[in-house]
Amino acid sequence: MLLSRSSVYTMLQNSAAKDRIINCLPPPFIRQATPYTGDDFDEKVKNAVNSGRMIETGIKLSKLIVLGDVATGKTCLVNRFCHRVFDSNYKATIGVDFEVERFDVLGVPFNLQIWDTAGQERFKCIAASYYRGTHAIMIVFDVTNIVSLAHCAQWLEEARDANPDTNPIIFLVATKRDLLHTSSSYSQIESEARRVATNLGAEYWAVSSKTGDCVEELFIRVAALSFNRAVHRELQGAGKRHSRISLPKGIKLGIWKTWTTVEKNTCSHQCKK
Amino acid sequence: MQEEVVKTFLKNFQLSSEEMFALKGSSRDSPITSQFFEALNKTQIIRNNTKYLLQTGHQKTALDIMEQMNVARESALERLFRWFQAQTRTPDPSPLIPEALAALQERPVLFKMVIEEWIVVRRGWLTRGFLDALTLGGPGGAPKPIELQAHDPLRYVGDMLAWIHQALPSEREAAQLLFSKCVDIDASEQVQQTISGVSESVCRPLKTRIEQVIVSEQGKGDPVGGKKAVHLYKISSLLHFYMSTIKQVTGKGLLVSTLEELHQLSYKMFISSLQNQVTHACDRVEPPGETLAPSAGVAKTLSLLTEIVTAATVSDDAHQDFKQIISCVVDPLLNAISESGASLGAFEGAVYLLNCLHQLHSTLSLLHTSSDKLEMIQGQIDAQLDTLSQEQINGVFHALGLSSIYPVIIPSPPVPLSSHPSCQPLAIQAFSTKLDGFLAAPDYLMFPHTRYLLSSSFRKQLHQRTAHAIISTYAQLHNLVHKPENEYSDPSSLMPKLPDVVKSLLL
Ligand SMILES: Nc1nc2c(ncn2[C@@H]2O[C@H](COP(=O)(O)OP(=O)(O)OP(=O)(O)O)[C@@H](O)[C@H]2O)c(=O)[nH]1
Ligand SMILES: [Mg+2]
Repeated sequence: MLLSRSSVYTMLQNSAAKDRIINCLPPPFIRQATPYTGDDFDEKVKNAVNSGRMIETGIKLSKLIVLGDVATGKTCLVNRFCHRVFDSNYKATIGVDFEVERFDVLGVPFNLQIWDTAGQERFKCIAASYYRGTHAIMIVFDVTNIVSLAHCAQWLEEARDANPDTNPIIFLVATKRDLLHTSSSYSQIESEARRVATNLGAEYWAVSSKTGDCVEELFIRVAALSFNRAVHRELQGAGKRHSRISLPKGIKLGIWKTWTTVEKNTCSHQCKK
Repeated sequence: MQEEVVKTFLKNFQLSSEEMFALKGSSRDSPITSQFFEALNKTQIIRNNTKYLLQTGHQKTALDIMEQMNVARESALERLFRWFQAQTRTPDPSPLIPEALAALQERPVLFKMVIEEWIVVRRGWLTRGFLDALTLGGPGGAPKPIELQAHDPLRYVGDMLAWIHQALPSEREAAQLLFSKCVDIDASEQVQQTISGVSESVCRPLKTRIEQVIVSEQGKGDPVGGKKAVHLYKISSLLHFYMSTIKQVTGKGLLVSTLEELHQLSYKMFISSLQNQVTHACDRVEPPGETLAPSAGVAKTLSLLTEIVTAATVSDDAHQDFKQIISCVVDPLLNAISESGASLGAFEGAVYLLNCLHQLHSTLSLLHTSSDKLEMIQGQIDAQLDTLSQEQINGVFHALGLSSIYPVIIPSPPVPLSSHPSCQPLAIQAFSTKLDGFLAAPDYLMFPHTRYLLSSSFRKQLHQRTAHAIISTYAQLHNLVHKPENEYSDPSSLMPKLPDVVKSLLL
């Protein structure tokens, strides 16, 4: 059994844990169910990384928010990925919780800040303030609860309202996959969910936090796409706002940069072509 | 042989020229390298080694070497200190910072100073980041500046607090790295203190803005229809929520106490604005019309209460506030209600009060929080129902001609009863006839005004109490009339119905 790792431990490492090293773009869950169709990181991004031309100082950081109805399994999903645990007792999230996961993407240290919001109506006014400036959005629904799928569009709309001019990466995630035993009951949900995903412009995933099925793959994909987007954005913005961009801006306050160049490991996630 | 000895001596008791160089650097400002720490470590080893010289009687040599090492260390730490200070000011400090801090632990004054410096510099960045987020927004203006939300106070306050909360993980991460190599200190305590120190910088801009929101919210006109109190309450519970959330990251500190202060202020403003709003709403509690229904003012005041209690969503210990809030609304409302009904007759007055109390009771019980007040209101309801049923029983007894019979047969009727003027056979006969009329149309039992009672349960209770009074009196009288010693000549024609029959007809 793997040990659960505290976030402190993760951060103090000079390089990311082995299973957090990404050297090629991991594939989507279903090729036909994603708007992010590139097979690899953008050429520009790879060039910038390879030439060592990383403009911003400080560890690169992207912010992911996890949204969705009450008890759809948001917290379990985050805990499965960050701590490798699963708790079948439900404990409602109060306001928001956060986790930080450290990755090395193409040899560059990269932090994913994960903000796990509460689904309860009473916390909506709080959660909404966390939507600002998010780079990735994960909308979660419960495969055994079709109503939670129906609410996904509304969750996304609210998150988008807070980010009218940014263009976050969006994931629609079906949880509790282990609870549907027959493939027919699942495929019915899946076709509906994929239709919703297409409408929302989201990449579709189905996972189980209980068994851990596809959870790693999902987050690795989120990290890789967020990284790609972050570097891209940085390259675009570099010319225009150079003076400001090198300064810490709020949540992206410079911690310090890559300690030493992280050695290139062999691909820990198979590149499926 | 000689050479070997010299070599070994030098190795154990002197720094090599490379080591000296690493300690001193090529110039005053040359950067610290990892060799620096190796050499610094070496000076410590040499200092330890001198005890062998002491043991073997080379006192003078030992002291000389000790002195040399002390001097080398002293100036090395000085240099390290200056370098560290410069490093804290760059957004991209050297990865050797944790090691440098650990080395400085030996000099508590320098150690304290660099941490202070670190905090001061990061404070500057944090404030700058906060002000940028407020006024400029993200890169290229996305997301939009938080101040654009200033027209929506709740959103504005929430966005500011969420921004600060979201800045803390990075601060924590940085502080954890900073102290990661230090030994013999409570690192988590140091980390907390450092984040708390850094976060102090946002207190001022945050405080002025939130105070402004609170004050301008408080100053808004239109107290009656407005949402002023509700807004203030929401702001106050938001502040409370963030105070406890941020406390988990920073421990106690200026930011937490600032939030506490702002929470207190907003709560105070909320209560005073609520009192104002309730006073205005209560002025609108007008005397009832013909139907004795509560005027719109009552519903309005109560909906204010509901709105506030259900707005207290984010704070888990809001229940502590509710007691005060409910008193703030219910006590003046009860006064207003009794004033507005003052000109009514006793019976109408009771019906009106019951209607109002009924509305209050149902509102409060939906809020699931107010057992004290609810009990108090239930008590008033019971008292009013008692009054009302007593009135009604009196009235019905009068109408049935029982009012003169009843006092005679309770508690100890005279014998023979038939010769008492109020209970002569004719009087009994008259009662029976009237009762038959009632039984044919039992609604007559109820006073006309009781049909204005909004609660059907109250109506039913009244009806039952009245019916029971009639039934028990009838049974008593029936029994007495049928007793031979009371000398009624034909009891069953006087009171032909059995008590059970009356009972089944009335209930
Ligand atoms: N069988 C199964 N149960 C799950 C899975 N994921 C979550 N659950 C259960 O679903 C319930 C809710 O999970 P949470 O993760 O706390 O839900 P949440 O979305 O964070 O809820 P809020 O914080 O209130 O918004 C818990 O009882 C979990 O044990 C899963 O993959 N399989
Ligand atoms: Mg949760």
